[in-house]
Amino acid sequence: MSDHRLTQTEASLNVTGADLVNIKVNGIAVKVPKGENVIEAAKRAGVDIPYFCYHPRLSKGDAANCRMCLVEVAMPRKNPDGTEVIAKMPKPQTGCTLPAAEGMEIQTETPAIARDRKGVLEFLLINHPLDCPVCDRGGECPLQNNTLFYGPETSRYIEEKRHFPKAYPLSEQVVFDRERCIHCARCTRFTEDISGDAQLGFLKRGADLEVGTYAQTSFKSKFSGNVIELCPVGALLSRTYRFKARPWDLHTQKSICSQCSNGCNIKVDYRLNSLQRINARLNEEVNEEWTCDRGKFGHEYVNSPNRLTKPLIKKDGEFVPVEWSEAYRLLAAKLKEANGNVGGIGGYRNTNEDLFVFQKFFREVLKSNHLDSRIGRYGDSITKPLFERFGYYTMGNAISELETMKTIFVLGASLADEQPILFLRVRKAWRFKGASVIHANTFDTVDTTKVSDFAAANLIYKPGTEITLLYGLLNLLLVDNTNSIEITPQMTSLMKAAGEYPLEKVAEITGLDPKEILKTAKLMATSPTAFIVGDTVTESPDYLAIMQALGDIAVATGNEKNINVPVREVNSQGALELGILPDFAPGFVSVSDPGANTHQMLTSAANGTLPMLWVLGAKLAEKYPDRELVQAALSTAFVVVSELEMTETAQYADLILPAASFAEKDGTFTNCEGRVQRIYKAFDILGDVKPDWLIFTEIASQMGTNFPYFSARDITLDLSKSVPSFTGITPKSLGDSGIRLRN
Amino acid sequence: MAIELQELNTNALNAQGIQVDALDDTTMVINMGPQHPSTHGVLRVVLELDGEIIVRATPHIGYVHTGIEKSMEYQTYMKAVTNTDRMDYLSAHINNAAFTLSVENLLGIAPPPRGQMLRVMLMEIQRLASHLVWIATHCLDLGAMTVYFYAFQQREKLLDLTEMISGVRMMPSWIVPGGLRGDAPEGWFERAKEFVDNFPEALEELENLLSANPIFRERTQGVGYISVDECLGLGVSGSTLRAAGVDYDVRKAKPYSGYEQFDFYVPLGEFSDVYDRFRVRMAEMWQSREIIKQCIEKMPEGAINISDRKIVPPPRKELDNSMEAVIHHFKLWTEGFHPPVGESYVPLESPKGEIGFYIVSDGTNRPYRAHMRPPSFMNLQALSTMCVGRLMADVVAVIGSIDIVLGEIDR
Amino acid sequence: MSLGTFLKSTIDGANALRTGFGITFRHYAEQQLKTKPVDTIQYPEERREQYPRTRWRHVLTRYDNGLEKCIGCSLCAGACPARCIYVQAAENTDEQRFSPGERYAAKYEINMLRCIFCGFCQDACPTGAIVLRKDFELSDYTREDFLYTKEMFLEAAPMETMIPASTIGAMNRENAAK
Repeated sequence: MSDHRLTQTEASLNVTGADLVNIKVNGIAVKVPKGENVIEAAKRAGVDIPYFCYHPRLSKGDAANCRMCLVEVAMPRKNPDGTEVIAKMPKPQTGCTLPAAEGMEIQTETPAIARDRKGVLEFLLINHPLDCPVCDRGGECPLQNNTLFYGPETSRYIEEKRHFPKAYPLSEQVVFDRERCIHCARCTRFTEDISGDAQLGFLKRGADLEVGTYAQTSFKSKFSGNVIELCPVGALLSRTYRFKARPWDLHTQKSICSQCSNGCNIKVDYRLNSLQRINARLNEEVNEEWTCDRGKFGHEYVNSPNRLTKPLIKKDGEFVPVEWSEAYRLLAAKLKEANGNVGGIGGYRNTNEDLFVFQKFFREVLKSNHLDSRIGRYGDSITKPLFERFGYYTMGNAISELETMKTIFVLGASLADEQPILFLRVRKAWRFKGASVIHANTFDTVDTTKVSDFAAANLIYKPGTEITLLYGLLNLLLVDNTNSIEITPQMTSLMKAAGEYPLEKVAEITGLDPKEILKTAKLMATSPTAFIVGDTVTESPDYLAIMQALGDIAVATGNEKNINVPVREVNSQGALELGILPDFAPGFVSVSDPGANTHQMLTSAANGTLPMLWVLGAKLAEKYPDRELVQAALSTAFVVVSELEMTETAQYADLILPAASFAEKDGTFTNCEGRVQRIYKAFDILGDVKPDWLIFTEIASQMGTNFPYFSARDITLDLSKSVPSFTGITPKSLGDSGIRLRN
Repeated sequence: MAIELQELNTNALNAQGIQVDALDDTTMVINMGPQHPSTHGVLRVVLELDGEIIVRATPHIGYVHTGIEKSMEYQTYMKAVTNTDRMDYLSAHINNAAFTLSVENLLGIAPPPRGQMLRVMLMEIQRLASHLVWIATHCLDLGAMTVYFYAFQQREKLLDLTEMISGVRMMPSWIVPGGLRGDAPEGWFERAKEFVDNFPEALEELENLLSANPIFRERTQGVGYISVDECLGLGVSGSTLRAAGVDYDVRKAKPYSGYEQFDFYVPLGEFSDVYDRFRVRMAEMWQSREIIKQCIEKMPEGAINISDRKIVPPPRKELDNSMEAVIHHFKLWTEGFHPPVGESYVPLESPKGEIGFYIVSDGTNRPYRAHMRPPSFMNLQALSTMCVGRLMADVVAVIGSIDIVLGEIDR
Repeated sequence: MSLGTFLKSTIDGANALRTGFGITFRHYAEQQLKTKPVDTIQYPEERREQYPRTRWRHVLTRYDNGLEKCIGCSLCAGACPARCIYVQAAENTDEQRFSPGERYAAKYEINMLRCIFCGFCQDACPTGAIVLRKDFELSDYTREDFLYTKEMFLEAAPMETMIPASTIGAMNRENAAK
């Protein structure tokens, strides 16, 4: 049965001050941080106070409106004669808004409090419809739980309840039942505090109070799924999970979201052999307790009816299902025929274990270095822009480190789309930690969830003028030295380069307001500043030059370690670490005879010099910039595709191998900050699919080399032995929150 | 050849942990069961014989082990009641009550008077039904087939009573924490009255058939003796203990469910042999009938369940208009109630002896541990003591006399 | 053994046997002359009495207007100690209406081999949809045949199941109003 709590957050999160005060909860003496609210303080004493509206990660704006957390409080008071007495407050107080103070004595289980709770719940239930049997929340509903433990047993209310349309579709993902709402304001506060789109709010007043989007429009947010988990009743529900299962039907398995490189910790809820829904799992270092909508609702492919369940061989232009043995026979024959002249493309959606065996198979069995996991425009050696200069590859900061930044410069990224969890951290840094955010991009999205909403400076520059902008900023920082940065002798060459970009010229070329650029330069001088670089830059033909300019700024402001170029796909980072690259073996060890990169492989496949290509889950036909080249390459060479579904790329294949999805295998993923996290096998789909590492191990043994792997665990352990950067990473040491590489 | 076989046999038995003297060709080891019809299920007794005299009798159990106690740890308290039916399947009501009373002890509740008395009535009906099966099968083992039919004829009427109230004959799960799952239906007490009125005649017939019968007496009198000390040492309880003359009946010694308000006596034996156990059980049947009769007369009006809605789901008619009732119904049927942290054991008198559930609660909705004290299991330990020195044919009589149910022993 | 005790035990034994055989003979005579009702039933030609609470094969009942009572809430599955019930719910539409309200059971399966007929499902059912009735002859030849589906449980419809939305009860007034 999947457990449900109102928050997954631990008590230690809400520490506001370091000094401790002595309080008593139900007679139990505890020391708690001063100013911590009573709900959290009581948790330290092992006392649970029931609540609905309170959430440790949300602001207290509209809080204390459910009145469920009432406690009796007594405080020490000095009498006029100097004697100290413990004086009880005349009325109960709400625990969520009451800060702990020295000498405070809290009672949570008195008859008066029990009566108050009964009264609060009776009011909440007056207008609550008799929907439990048809409500998806039934069985994991905080309102049910609190009613069972603290509520009245019988109703006194006999009048008609209020009625609203049922199952109002609030957005593509969220369905809203207004009758069930208890007005806790958790969802409205979430959209205001966390996702930042401020889409939901309270409309009308008094008995007519209701949650809605202000103009009765559709609820557009990239994080709307979180309000489903936050809702303490069944008012906000998932449309995809609607009527699918009950908590007692479900089994839960820990996993990692496979939709982007942020590596959100999730819980996979499944029934028999089908995935039912995704819920967030707490990881303070990565996603806290949130997910984005892409992660929460984007996993339907696991049980898609289009899943491949048998190996397919193309015979006369049509795919014929065959047994694995036949597929292996054909594959082995073709691999021998190609004699090492085989290219491997992709792998960014596979586990570290798959990738390690993938490259091992290519390098040791096929003796081929033609491996590349990158299918973007940038295909050059990845060491050039960052590693050679600063010594790290993609992200200099950990995700949680972003919170500590004074300024965050988001360059060329639609952050909420590309890196949703980074976006939430950036927004948290701005909203709760006082950071300034600079947004620079060639365009601004029309979405409701975006960085420019809260950016202190918003630079929408003309396409292709990034270098001008950056050097212009450097010019302001160093040459004009608007912020009196200390100029060291090493910076003279930088100053010379920057000197060619005076403000007026920059403003003219980039099409920006000079004031805005000045403001940006002022903000950037504060340290620490983090730089987050997105798609507009990485897909730019000037990528190297832009990174050079950005690096110059970072050097000038002393933020060498704070450049972040996060990768996009779930295990792109792992593919880099594990050497799915033509010029590097696992752990970024250079190889003596570099192979071809994706572009070169496709070119030589198209002109017939590379007879065989193995596409490991890469969506070449869909995503590769040069579509014609892909078509030519895939139709000329003998193409093996390992895929979950029949994709466009797979249509070109001569042999398709059905692979296991992330829910059907064990392993580890490496997220964009280099954090290795475990996934666990949840179920088997009906069909004859195999995890990719097993496919490589089996075909290797067909080719005469036996890899000593019988489970993903064997590979993880081998990784920790044979790849230096993975030293110490074992299934056991990873635990629940994972380990960041090189940290 | 014979010696080799004996050796093989000895080795095989030693490997199974059964002590027999190696290469001692003065004794012979034979297996009785587990498919022997007189072992009441799947009991296997390994007998070591010197001629026809029993030197050692080792009961071997576990053939119907189903892990019931373990399964109970994964059921809510309400659902775990259904598991208890299947332990001693001849006295399901009493098993239900044993579990239920222990849970109610944890919760600190007791059902209202009518619920209590209805429970007593069901338990006594069950005791009669169980004893009737015992007398039937016991006599069948000893070669008296007629008794079997007459006893089952009466048992059928008792099962009808169970079926009328609960809907099934043997696995009712009708006694649950908080009370019962339903009150007696219309006409039930009349049927029970009719049975009580007609039963003495049938019981007398059974007694007349057996008690003076010379064959029966030859097979039972002086057979299967066990001393009081040995009984107490082995934890023997129930009719077997009372046949040895020990006045211990939980209904009197530690009354539960309001047994103290009934007028009945505890029959005792004096020779502690198979015949005395027969006499004691026959007398107990008379007493059970007496209790049922008093129940019918005294049955109070009122509720059968406690009024605490946090334990017993609300009445069905409230589900149409009360939100509180809907929530409590929903949660109690799926999640169940949460007893406080603690442990509890309440002994009851089952037809076989003292039964009770030791339940440990960790404050969740499922028992952390539920362990049954199985009277059949304890009583079976006395088998060896009763048989040693007797003839092999007496083993059948002795097994019958201690009245075991293997479902309860193996669980 | 003295002659006296020998004679006494012989006579006692003979008397006891006479009593015993007397009882048996009386029963025999009663059966033959049919002076007492016969307890044996000639199944399957004769059936014994079944009581209103009899808990045997499940039935999914309907309202008088033909709509299914089952709303697919899965409470029966939650209350089932044997975990033998599988319910998959789906949403009613005005075109395809199976039950009042939003939700109905698209799949309702019970593995009758696992079912222990405890009746908790009918106790837990909030609408009284699943009931255990008197059909007890459930033997079959293969294991697959014991996987009973919703169609097998459902009562025959008293009238056409597709009814106009306007006649739907209060529970779904909003959908009906649309």
